[in-house]
Amino acid sequence: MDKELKEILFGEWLSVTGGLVGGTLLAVWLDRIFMLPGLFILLPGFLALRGHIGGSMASRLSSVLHLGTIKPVWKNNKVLQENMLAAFSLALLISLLLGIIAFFAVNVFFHISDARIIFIALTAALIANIVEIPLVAASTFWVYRKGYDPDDIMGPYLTTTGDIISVLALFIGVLAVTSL
Amino acid sequence: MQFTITKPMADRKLMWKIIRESFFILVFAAMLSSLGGLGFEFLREKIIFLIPLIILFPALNDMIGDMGTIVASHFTTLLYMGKLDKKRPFASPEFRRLYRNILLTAVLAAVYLVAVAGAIAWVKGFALSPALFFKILFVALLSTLLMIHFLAFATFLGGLYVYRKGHDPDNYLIPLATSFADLGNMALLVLFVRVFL
Repeated sequence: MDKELKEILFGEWLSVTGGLVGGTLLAVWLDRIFMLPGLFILLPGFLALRGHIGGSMASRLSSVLHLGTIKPVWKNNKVLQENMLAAFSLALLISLLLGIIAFFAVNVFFHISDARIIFIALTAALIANIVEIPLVAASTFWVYRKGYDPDDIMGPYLTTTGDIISVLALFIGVLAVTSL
Repeated sequence: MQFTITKPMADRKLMWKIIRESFFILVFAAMLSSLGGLGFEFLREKIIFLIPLIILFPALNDMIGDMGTIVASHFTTLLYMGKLDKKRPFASPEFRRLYRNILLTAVLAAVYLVAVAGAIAWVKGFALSPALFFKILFVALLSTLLMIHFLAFATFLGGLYVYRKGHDPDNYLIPLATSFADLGNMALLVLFVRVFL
């Protein structure tokens, strides 16, 4: 078995196992999460967003670590702070957009007007990113300090953690908004 | 063109730079994903009773997205290292090796996913018959194989096009590959669920 195949297989095994955990949580909370119209429209984009934003942030941090622009420390790390602020802002903005798209799509195609989907998207994004963004930074630094290349590891790792955190955040978001 | 930050930027300039450069591609990716999700919403009444498919869905989407990232990353590496025959990219030994490895990984991962999802659903009390299990396996394998082929060829052809226009493929390929992979996979799943399940 060649080296490339081994690395791809291992990375994929890690990634899809995390996805299975996320999928199992979805199945367990099926009646709660999918009772609202539009959740199916929101779900794929919301899950993918963790990977897009977290992955880009990890990649940027990895680049500046390798270049020596920053050290893997939290204190007085302006580059890190700006990356985290940017990632958080983007995540909230795009999640709001996803909620709005879901709201209008359900309105147009199913003639149901339920704005709660927008608040669920925002609430879930807030919860997910408060956890995920510091986790991305901490994990990237940890991997780098241990002597590994974050570029090789962070991709499947973020896919795994992103799915689990996203589903948990969506469940909490649904509970919070529907109980109001 | 500078693609990396070599020194810290003052005030919030770095934050705004990241937001500015990422915003539109993320909007595009969000719209593509929502389109795929809309297909699922139309089949909501059918899909919510197929517990193995619910369990399978995030992982299958992840896998196809990851394959897109792997193909796109390898493409740019091969291109910049001069290991790709720009006139006949699909004849390159490196492309063939990557294609074989991606295909094998995707098939093994799809079988693993369906088996584990089926086992979890069965433990949860879902009445999973052998016929339904093999139908779900068939749907997962078929959509995976079609998407892998599409990704491999579209990424290499699209990447060469971008490169010839004087742009860095790294800025385009990964977000585009993962977005189209997600959309294509969801569209195929919706189609096959309608037809076979």
